Amino acid sequence: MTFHATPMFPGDLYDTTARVAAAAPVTETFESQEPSETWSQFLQLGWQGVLIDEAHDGAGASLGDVAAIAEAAGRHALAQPLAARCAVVPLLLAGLPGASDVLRAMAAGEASVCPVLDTGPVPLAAVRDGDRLTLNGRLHGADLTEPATHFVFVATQDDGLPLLVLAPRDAVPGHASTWLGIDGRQTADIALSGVTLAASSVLAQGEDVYTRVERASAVGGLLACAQTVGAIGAMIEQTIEYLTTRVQFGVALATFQALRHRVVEMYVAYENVRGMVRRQVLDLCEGPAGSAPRDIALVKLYLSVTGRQVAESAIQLHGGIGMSRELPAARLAMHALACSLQWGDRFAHLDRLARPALH
Amino acid sequence: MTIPHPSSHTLDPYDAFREELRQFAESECPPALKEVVRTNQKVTRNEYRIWQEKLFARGWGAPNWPVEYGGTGWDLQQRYLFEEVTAQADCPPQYHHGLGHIGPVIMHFGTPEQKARFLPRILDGSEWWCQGYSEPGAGSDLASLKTAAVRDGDHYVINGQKIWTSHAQEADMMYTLVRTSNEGRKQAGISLLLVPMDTPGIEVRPIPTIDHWHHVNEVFLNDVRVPCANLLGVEGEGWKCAKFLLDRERLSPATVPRLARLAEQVGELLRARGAGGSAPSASQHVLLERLYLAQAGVAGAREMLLSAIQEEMQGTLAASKSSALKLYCSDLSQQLIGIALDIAGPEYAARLVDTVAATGQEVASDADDSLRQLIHTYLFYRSRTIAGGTSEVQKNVIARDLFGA
Ligand SMILES: Cc1cc2nc3c(=O)[nH]c(=O)nc-3n(C[C@H](O)[C@H](O)[C@H](O)COP(=O)(O)OP(=O)(O)OC[C@H]3O[C@@H](n4cnc5c(N)ncnc54)[C@H](O)[C@@H]3O)c2cc1C
Repeated sequence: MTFHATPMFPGDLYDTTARVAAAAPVTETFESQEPSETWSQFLQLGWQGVLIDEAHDGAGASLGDVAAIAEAAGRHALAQPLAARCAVVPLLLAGLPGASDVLRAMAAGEASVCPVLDTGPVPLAAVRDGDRLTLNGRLHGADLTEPATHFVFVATQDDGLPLLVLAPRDAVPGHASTWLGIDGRQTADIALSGVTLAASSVLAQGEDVYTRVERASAVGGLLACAQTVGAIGAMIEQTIEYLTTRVQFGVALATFQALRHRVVEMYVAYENVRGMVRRQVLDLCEGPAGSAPRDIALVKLYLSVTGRQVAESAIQLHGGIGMSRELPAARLAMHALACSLQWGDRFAHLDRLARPALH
Repeated sequence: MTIPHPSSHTLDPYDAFREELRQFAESECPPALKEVVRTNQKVTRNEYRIWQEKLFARGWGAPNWPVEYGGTGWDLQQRYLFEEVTAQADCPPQYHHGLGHIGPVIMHFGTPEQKARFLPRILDGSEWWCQGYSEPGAGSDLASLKTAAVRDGDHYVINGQKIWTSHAQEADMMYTLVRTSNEGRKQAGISLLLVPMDTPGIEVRPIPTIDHWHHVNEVFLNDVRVPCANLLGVEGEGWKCAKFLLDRERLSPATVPRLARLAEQVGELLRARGAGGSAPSASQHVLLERLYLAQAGVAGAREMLLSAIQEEMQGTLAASKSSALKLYCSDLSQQLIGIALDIAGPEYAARLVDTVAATGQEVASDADDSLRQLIHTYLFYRSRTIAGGTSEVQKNVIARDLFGA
């Protein structure tokens, strides 16, 4: 019997997501205004409402459930913004009075909120004047792989006060440049000059904004790790399959020890990160939230390094075909690489860890 | 500052148990022993024995044994907590050759007489074992071993040589693989014998090693007569016992908590070295990243170990799992001690052995002894990826499972 990955959080959510993800076509066209078939199914399944509390028509489920979705999606290198819209946004908006309506709409699959939390080179400046909020600056790296009905982002007032702003998509006109990422993810930079919103768009302000953003992004990072675990498991399966069937020098490549040993290194790394991520998700479900971002930073740092190593091995072991965008293993490798960079790369997390450590 | 401790989560229902362990480790483990462990000196039979006697007196002599043989009968969490708390408190580890290796094999394959004769003395720490497997011509390819045992009445007569025998210089007994037949597959003619080290014809010679610790030996066997009653299991089926033992050897629950403790020590060292300085240097940042990666690795290894022990208790453990753990942990221990070497720097590499002290003269030394011990440990830890099956051999074992051939 050859290797087959065992899910960290087996169950219906894992199985359903894996089934939908397995059938997802690969697309490389930018920002269609219509959600993809795959994404529509996730919206109907209520994946955006998994973490939303029951009072807002959500399932009130735990992070382990979203991690199951993330891992299953990761197995198929799915570019859909699952972590962002099913976990980061619900956590960001939880308990905010001004967010009740949008949370309900998200749970029903009628709204989809794109978080834009990276500051980018041109930060957003906000001016409040009576019941109007005026914005100047840039929304940096908005993940629009699937259409969004709203953006949520941070803008800063002159006096330094940070604001958490929820804006309908249509209310944010501006000049956009759009990008296709290494793993098929599609993002846009949107330049805003003098865009005005109702003052009620401000959902939170001050210290609370930082706390929410830090915690929600940390969870985003942890889910990227869960996606990576899924991707690594699938990469190992596919690499073994390839080495077992590909014949060179009259024998299957799987007979060469140098290649077998490199696969073993991928596998041992897999067992380790699988245990590590699973434990961190469980701890977060059970334990006090206080120390979470720091613990997650340690896991994310590790996964960023390991995910990339495994991805590079998967490509190398496939030889020339490893360079083909059509090869699922190559897409998985790009996905793992993208996950290693998203929600803080290796160095962002190293900085976070080291800051209190050396001073 | 806090460098996160990777295994700091508490396991609720076990809090009282943890506290009980903690108090025991606090009050019963002599400070002199803890000092040896804390400063990374080599633990010898003397320290192992003192600690084993304490544990035995408390009824905790064998955390991994079933109650019928005097073990604690602890469940998985309790066993792990025991290792975690004692490692945190710098208690010595328990001596593994009896409790972890041959003990379970005797329970599984031994006669009632053998169990009655050997197990109690492993438990109370009065009898010490070593492992005579490797030979000059049989290392990774263990089954090609040549040391031969020939039956002569109700005795076996052994002739041959073992090498790399850890602790032979301080052991009372050696469990050893010998060839009792040259017929069939080379695995088929191997038997497992239990040999008293004071039997005439045994000579133990130390092997000087790069770490300057006396750990391994050559063991010469010349017409060594051992009663047939000391055959474990069936003649010619010793390979089965050897494999049973090796799978367990790779699955020591103590490994990960000890690694966690080492990671903590290396963190303290890094901090102490960086203290007082102005801006942290580039080298400190590099070391810090290596340390964090190793700490995260410890957290993952902990989960691997827990699930492997669970599978072992249910009898479903695959060889590839324990090999993966061995492979990962041995590598991790080298990474950690490699960081320590880099922190200690060239100065301590040049001061491994205090030659003045070796001549017995009293001269105050300004070298920090625990840092010197870390260099010894670094050198000794090169063997982590060699002893107990090399990393390459572990990879072969795992690959067979992964590829199904
Ligand atoms: C500190 C220490 C303590 C030890 N304690 C004990 C003990 O108590 N009892 C005991 O019986 N033994 C003990 N050993 C011996 C240990 O088990 C052997 O050293 C080990 O099994 C390797 O065998 P070898 O030294 O003959 O190396 P070799 O087998 O000659 O290996 C040399 C190199 O070749 C590689 N290699 C070998 N075969 C393969 C292969 N098929 N594929 C790829 N690479 C391969 C190895 O990985 C290694 O890198 C100890 C060793 C050390 C260093």
